[in-house]
Amino acid sequence: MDITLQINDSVHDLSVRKNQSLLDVLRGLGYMSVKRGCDVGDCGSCTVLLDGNPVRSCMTPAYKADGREILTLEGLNDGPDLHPIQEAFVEAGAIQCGYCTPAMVLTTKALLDKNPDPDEEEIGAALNGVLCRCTGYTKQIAAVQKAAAILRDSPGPELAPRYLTLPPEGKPFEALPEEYRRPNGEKNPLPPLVLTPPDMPPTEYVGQPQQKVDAVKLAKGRPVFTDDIKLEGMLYGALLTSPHAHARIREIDTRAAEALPGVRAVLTYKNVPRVKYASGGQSYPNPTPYDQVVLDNKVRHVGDRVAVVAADTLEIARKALRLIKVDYEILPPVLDPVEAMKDGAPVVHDEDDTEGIHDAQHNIVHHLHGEVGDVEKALAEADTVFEGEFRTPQQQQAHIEPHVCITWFDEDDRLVIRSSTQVPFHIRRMVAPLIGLPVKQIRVIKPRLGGGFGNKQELILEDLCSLLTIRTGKPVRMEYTREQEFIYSRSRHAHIMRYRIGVKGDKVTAADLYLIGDTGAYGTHSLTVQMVGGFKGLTIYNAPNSRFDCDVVYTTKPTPGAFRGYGTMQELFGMETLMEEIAEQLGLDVLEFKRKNWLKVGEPMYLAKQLGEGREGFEQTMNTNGLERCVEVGVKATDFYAKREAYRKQTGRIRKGIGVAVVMHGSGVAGLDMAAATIKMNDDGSFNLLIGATDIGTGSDTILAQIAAEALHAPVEDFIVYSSDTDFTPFDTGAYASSTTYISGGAVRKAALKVADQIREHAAAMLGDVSAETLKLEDSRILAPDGRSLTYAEVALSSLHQMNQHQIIASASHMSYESPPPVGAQFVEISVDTETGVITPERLLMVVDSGRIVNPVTASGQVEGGLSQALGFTLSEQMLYDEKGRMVNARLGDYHIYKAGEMPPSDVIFVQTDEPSGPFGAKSVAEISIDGVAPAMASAIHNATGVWIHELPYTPERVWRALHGK
Amino acid sequence: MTAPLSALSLTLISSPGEGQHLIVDGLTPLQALLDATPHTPPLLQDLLQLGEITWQYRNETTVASALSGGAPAIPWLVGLAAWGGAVLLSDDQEIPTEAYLARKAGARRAEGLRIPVKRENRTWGEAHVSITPSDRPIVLAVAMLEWDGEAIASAGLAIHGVSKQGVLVIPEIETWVGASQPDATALAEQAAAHFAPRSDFRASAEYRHEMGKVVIRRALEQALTGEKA
Repeated sequence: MDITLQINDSVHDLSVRKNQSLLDVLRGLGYMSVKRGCDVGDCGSCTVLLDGNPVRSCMTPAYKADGREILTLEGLNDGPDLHPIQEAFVEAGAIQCGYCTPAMVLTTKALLDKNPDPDEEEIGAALNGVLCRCTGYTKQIAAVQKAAAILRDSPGPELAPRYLTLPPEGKPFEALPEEYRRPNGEKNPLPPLVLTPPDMPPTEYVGQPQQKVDAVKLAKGRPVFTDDIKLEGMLYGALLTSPHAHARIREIDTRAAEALPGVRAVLTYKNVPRVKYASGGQSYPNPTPYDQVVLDNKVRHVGDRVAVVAADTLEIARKALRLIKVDYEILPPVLDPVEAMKDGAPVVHDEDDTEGIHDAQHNIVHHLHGEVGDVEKALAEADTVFEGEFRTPQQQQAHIEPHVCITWFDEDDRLVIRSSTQVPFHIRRMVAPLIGLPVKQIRVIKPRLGGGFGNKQELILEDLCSLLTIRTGKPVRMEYTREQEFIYSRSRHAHIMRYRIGVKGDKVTAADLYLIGDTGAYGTHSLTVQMVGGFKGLTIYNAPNSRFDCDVVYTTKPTPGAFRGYGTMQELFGMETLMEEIAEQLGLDVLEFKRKNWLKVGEPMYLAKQLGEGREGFEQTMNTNGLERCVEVGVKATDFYAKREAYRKQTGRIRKGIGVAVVMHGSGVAGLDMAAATIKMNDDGSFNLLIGATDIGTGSDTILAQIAAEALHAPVEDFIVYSSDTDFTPFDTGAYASSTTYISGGAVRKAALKVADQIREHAAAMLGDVSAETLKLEDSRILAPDGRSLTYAEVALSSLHQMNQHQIIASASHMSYESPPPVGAQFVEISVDTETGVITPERLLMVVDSGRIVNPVTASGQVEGGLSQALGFTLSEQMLYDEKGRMVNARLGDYHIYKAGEMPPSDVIFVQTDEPSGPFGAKSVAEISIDGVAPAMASAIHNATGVWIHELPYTPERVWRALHGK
Repeated sequence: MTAPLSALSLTLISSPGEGQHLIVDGLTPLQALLDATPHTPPLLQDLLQLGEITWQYRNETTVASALSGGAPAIPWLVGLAAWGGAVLLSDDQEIPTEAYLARKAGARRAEGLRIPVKRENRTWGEAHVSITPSDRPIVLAVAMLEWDGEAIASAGLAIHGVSKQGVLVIPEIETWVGASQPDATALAEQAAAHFAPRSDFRASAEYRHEMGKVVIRRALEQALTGEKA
């Protein structure tokens, strides 16, 4: 049908199909700010304004917009300046990955057009239709308040971080600002509070709330994501997945699909090479097992790969999939890891060409063991031995941008892979043998990422897309549907853990952990996740007699992989909960008991060497630990002890509770993660900062620029950051394991210091009669002791054009045999409806020591986002299956991640320490925020009701059953 | 967010003995009902913001399509049934909301709604259980009581989540009309006789059964103690 769309200031006459969505039409016309997240109306990232009202363009047939006014983010402003709403989002730090930003900004515009002064509740309700997985919504709500204030010409909320100096060690901190206590239950977003020891040297650019270097383009909805380009002659790939949890493919007939006009290639196990691999994007050599092939003649979970098609349009590709006839020999599924280990259970990997399975007949991928001291003896000698079994669910990353990949041959016949990946360098190395090209023939480009959280640390689409381009010679685009994201990307390993803790007096003398990790159909990341779980779960209290045993087990379910906080958050749930149970049973104050036992500065981590990450590790000692101060500040900010006591006496139907947990994480993988950076000086004294590190929305491009700025004494605005492209940026293992600030930051600092030396040397030559060592760098100038000075621009022009001509440029690499742990105290306040089991979170507070905070706005954004994901893990999120292994909640609406209007106030306080091994004292911040909510929630529920619940998530029914003995 | 009724495709009518009603065209977006303050009953406005219903959904979804069974709209439909909303059909007849939802209209299409407007002599209550506030309710009950002085003149009670019907009306509420000391707990127990819940990924049948009683009791208690408005 013929329609006329008025989009922003343009009129488009076009012909559309009746079922064609407005989303498809808008993106087809080049309005790339309109994002595709689910195509079924759950995520809201495709929101546009129709006659001023927000609608989901995926749910709106294009014909219904005929003659109506459509506003996309491209139409909000056409000049270089930002609209006040965009300005507020940038200033508030409300943009992380930026994928949901266009929808958020437009929804905000519609809200403020109707209601110029909304309160937090009204803002939350308005933003409920747009999911964000990065931010936790705190800064977005603040941004809306700020935008409203700007538009009303009033000052609005204070967004800048607050900085206070701590008293000397051993002295109590008495200066906590009143608002961080939330004395009257206020819900307004608070800026992060940064507490600094009195003896910590000041910094200039590091530590500042620097605006994100990519914020403006993201605020404007520029076409910066993988799928925001369209190449001439591009084909569309589509994936056929298994309807069965376990089956052998007896025959597959693709003739009808191949005969369909517009189909350019059909790939199955019959016509692609059988090369074994592990899909986890990890360092060489990838951890075993190598139990995958590109396409197999056996399927091991519903959603497993069967065939892939490339066609002129996506519709033709999908039609072709329906024409592929597959004859399956259906095999029995096995969905429970305990059942999977029993004699006679269905064998998930019965092929004879997989390397590295511990016991294939019992589906045991790995059996892991680590031990220090004599655990049995210590348990026998303990005053009391406490035991507990805990279970955690399979959680999905649910980043809003799906996996998407575009491949093509460039003018030199090299294969270009443009992919939404956290690990471009690993992808290049790993995909090469699967597609039969040498590494040098492959270039991987990582544009902006719409979230990843570990799920894009996997080889997911790149092999299929590349093979289709190789087969057809044409550009090919592949994108996962949201259902495929659930059933054929990755997720968090479900864990069953059994702890035994031996206590003598108030000291933990022995700790024994047996873990069953459910790795689903394939073993990617199965070694490392579980090893990390054992190490972190046992090291926080670091008993001298510690033992870890683990079986990692195949089942016929979608495969887990890397997900923020992997291993650690599961095992800390068990350990922290059991520690509080022990304290209760011994009549000890929980924080005092934990304080007596937690890892302290100077103490060796007993299991560090045995439990590295997939290989033997390195001896580790804790250098810095602000946990004592974190706990002190958190106790004051929540009035912990008074509430704790008062809540114990409740008898009503609705009961309040307050809980606490302490957490510890790491900063990169010791002795394994490596990053490099290159800094190049330009004619005007600015710099290109080229990094292989991948900013997946975390703000790492920005904090790395701040680190470079600090070392070079030049403003952040003078650094043009580019990440990452395997042809043009130096190597980096990628964005995972909380490594970017610590490892990539270390590389950037080293490269910057080298450049600083070169600047001094050239300036010394220009000035004459002065040694480079005496020159000082300050504000993009070189200052000589005699008062003379040069600008960076003068040095750059001289070095490039006039004297001793050379490029001022340096590269540096960094790795570390240390992985200094950030630590933190997590507080949770809730109410429990004891009649229904419904838990209402009322406040989250995390007080965290991540070393020196490079950027309090981006760092607090990381914490807030982690808290939101942790809240989902704790209360609502789980991948659920029927008896045939079909996931029953494989869409965002049913799976349900937290929405803007549901989040409780989430407060962040940083207790800085000066980590000697970190760049300018920094440790990591990205993952620790996800570790503590679950055990703190267990603690709060117990405070409210007296009941311990050992299995997550705490759905109303689970809590109700626990409370009522059902 | 108040707009003139005419701009929202809504009409206010008065019928002798039946009071004022809002006539809503089937093609009216749900958002218009939220914008029609003060005429849309507050209960129905609240329910248009509950669970999975978002601003975008209200803008995209017409009254007619919501009546066709869109899952996000279920809380509002439960409220409509309890409140006494009637569906206007293509043959100029009308049937109660719950009858329409039970497909008793046959081939006749829904062309609009007739909703009693906010009334001074009505009280109501709503209670639900959900995993998170914006998730689809596991169970949800809405009760409406219309008072004649101190006596109940008419009443409505509907629930979602305890039967295969999206909206189940509890007929025993009629026994409250004229009753002097209605017992919410007793009625909830009576209502349970109509429950036939099924398990799904949100909750088991057992939990739905038990919570069905809880939310009915709570909704009734709220209605009994609520301010008349």
